[in-house]
Amino acid sequence: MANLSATPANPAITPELIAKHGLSPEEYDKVLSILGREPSFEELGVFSVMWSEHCSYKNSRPELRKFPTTGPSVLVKAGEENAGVIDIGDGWAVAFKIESHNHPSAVEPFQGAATGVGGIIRDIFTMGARPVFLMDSLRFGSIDGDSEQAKTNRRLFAGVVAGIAHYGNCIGLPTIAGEVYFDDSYNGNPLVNAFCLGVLRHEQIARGAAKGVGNPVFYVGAETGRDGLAGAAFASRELTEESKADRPAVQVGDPFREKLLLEACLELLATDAVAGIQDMGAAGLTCSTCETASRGGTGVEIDIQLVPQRAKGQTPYEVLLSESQERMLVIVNKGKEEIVKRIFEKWDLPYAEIGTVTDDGMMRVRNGSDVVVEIPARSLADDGPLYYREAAPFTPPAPLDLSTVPQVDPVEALPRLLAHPSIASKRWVWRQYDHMVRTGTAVLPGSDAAVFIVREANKILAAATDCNAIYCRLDPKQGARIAVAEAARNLACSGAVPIGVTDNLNFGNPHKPENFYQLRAAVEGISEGCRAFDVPVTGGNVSLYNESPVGSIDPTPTISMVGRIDDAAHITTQAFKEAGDLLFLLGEIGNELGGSHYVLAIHGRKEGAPPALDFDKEIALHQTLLGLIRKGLVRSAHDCAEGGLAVALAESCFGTSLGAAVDFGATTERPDVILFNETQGRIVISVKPSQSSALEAELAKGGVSFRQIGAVTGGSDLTITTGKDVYSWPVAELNGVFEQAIPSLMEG
Amino acid sequence: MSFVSPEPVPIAKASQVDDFPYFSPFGLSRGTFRPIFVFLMKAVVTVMPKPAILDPAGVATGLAMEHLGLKGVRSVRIGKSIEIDVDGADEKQLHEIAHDLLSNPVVEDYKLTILA
Amino acid sequence: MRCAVIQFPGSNCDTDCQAALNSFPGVEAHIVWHKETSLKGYDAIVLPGGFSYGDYLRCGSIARFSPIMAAVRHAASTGVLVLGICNGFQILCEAGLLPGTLMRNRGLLFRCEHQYLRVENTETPFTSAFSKGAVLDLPIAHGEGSYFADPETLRELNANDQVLLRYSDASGNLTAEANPNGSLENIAGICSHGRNVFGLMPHPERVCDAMLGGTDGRSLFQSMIDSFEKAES
Repeated sequence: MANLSATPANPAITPELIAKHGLSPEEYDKVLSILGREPSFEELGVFSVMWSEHCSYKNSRPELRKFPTTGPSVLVKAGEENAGVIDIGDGWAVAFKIESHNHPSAVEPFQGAATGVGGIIRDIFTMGARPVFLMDSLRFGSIDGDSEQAKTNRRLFAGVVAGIAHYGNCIGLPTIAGEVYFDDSYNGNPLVNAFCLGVLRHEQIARGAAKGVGNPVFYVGAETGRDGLAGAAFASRELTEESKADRPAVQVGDPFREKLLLEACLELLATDAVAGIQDMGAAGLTCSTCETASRGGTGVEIDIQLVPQRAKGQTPYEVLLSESQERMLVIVNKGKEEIVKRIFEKWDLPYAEIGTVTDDGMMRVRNGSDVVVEIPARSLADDGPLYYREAAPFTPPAPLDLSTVPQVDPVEALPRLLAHPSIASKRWVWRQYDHMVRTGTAVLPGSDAAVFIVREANKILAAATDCNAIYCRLDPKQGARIAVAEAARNLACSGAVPIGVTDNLNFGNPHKPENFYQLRAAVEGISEGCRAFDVPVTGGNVSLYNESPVGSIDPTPTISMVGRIDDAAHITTQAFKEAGDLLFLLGEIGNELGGSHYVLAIHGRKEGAPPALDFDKEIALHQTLLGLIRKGLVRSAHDCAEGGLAVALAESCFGTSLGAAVDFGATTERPDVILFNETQGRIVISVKPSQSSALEAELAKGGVSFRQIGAVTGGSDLTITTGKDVYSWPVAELNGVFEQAIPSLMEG
Repeated sequence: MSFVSPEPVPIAKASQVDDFPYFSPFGLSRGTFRPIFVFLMKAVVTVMPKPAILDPAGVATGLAMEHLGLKGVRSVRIGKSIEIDVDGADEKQLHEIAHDLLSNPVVEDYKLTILA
Repeated sequence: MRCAVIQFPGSNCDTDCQAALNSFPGVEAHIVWHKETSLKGYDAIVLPGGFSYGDYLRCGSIARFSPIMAAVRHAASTGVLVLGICNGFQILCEAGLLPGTLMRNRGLLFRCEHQYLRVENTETPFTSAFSKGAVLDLPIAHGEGSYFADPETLRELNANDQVLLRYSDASGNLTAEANPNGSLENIAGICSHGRNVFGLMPHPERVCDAMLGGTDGRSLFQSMIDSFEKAES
């Protein structure tokens, strides 16, 4: 039985110690009632991490149940395993998920981001899938200027990008898409959301359940050290001056080890040796042990002394809670232990048989002959506390009063918008990522969605990640709806049909009612959007407490959407292709400036109501576009987002340096309203002149409003006419400003 | 194998340094400030990963050494050596630079040795 | 033509190379684990890109001691074609099969992008299918690609026409702006004195398919196939 005499490695359980472990008195009472006795020090640690927000989602689970997670193509649904799995046809499937590593990146950006990438990759290959590409969604405070905060933000930005590059490049996975936003609400709380997608055959789906009583339990991968102790608990606390002293909590990633681990695990999974497999992520050995037992309806017993360790004199507490990277727990079919040995020796990786699957439903941890942990596995993994937090009532924002927004000459405003780091070219970022390894990237970063050809499956995938957090700050539900619609629109522009969504919910302290409202509203908005587009949520991540003494971040529910393209001929990109091509706008010209980047970047205001969204219209738009693409009528497609039509047109000119001339016709609206509004449901397409009547005939059937707006001139300028006003910019100048914005801030 | 520093030199607690409640094993200690004026200074700053931190390069190199026939390798840790030749810096400044620029205090310790 | 693609722990572009090679009729490419000791029966050997041993210590410094390298060395000495791409090039230099070394990019950042290159010498089994002075578009993806050799070695390389590819602009000019990593004399790829060992930093296997952005890499592999077939006949 647990050794309860107080020693430095096994202190007495005092209220201070309980509080230090992040457990409330009520939660501790629950512990007592589950155990029927006081916990050991190790057991206290185990409950502390398993019931932390980061591991248990105790503040958000009731809300997450609102997501639509089922559908005919769902093979493994959200919440069942480490990642969801979606069928893509012909016996092939994809496993994908997005996860955050926000708090560690604030403290050590390089390693925080690197280990975030490592963690999400493991979540994918633990499902039996071979990871094939990555995406990331990053947010930082403003990087402009000489303030201490701006310098810190530049350091964080550089460190995070370098960390992702280091891990992704070394392990050999291309980072093919992403987004980076800069806004002062992220000062002190950068967001690093990492996405990974893997491919597998249906029969290769692996599960993390401890099946088969008597089966040996193996630990494989890197030795355990004191990395990230109490990391899960760390992510559940706000960042304050004190938490900086918790720096030893940051783990160091070893992408080389993980490459070996990935290959070894995939080789092992191809044999009949594996009954269950689970990666060791947040809460390391503790989480993998109790979760596999819980899923299997069995128990797991392990001996800490058998765990490969890299530091001397580690206590059972330390080994159980360590978040050392690059480790997996494998339930091996009895009699097949030799296979594990052969494969892990081939790849020069540590491995050890550390325990067995039992039939008593307990997570039991021994330290040699002493039992230090004995907890019913289900109570840890599934019966954790659940909180129904209070949501503040929501006051919809007042619509933007245009009379308070002075008009700025578009000739000046467009370059300024293009130079805003959130809109500007992110080439400085993705040039540091090997985005071509695995020879599958058909559409490189820089277009609306990335397109990846999975050679072995003969399938074409598209992926995009989106969230306009300004809209979410102004109206969280609307912002979340729009995030889903925008991701789907980006996929449509690449020729893809959406097949699944993974979400990363980044919010502040859920104990504050206004923040909790944001979480609830965002989940509801995402759910509405996913139901409208008929795409299941396959899983995701919740990151709360993104808050510093200055305030909470803008609510940021990041949506990563995966799509499928059925024919390589349908792959479409945003750059204009040839002089003479005619330009059409699908959707309305629009006039909504509320929450726009024009108002933010040029006028310094985050104000107004986000644009309206009509799901039926949006769906009709995407389906119409896909119909046109399939008929070979579309040469380029680009949707309108931040910065409106003017930015979308400029971006389309950049790829091939072809100028264009566009006329929006008679109007009573101000020029800046026409050029920079962010009304939803708009896509600019270009078409060969010889095909324009066929295009118009198709569009006339569709019920989507459209108009011809001009042509690709191939000249040196972009010219936009609205009403009687004509504005013109040299494309090369706009491109220069767009490309140089971030490099000049980071290297200048 | 432990990294031993030469005779500890009393230094100031640099004013910009965060107040960590711990000491590095390199002999950095809090003491009183005694200005040391040096006009031509040669110094070496050695930066090593902190003892508790994983050193992936060290691990891989250690394994490679074993494959090359070296028996019983218990640990390999890899760092950097930075040689500085500077006019008119004082030790306090060098410590600040070593702490703020040359090392990453989150994961690394440094040792400053004045040569001349 | 039977081709061995060596797989070191941490190689990433091994399956990419295998797929590219197998797309040529008459080519059979096999992945060979670094612990093997024989390369008998292989007509060509490829050391692919990636991060062997994590690039720890120095790029390629640990891989050069892999058991397979003795067989690679032996094969090279008998005239078998040996191609080192990116990390493969770094391993060949560390192993002394090619002179010089690859250092950290001058800009200090990893760079992945398409790059123009000028073909300097077409009288080799790797470049015979190109025309002299042709400008190619091959992607690069590296953090340590800056070629360095001492002045004497550089003199010899130039005197013996061992520099096969240089970084250039779209018109074939060897400008500083066109040099992505600070390599001396814009050197992107060199061959051995005997011409049968070739190392280059760019990735030809990534441009063997029009759907993936280009096909300039095909001529490099075609040259190897042509040379093999000529030797066979």
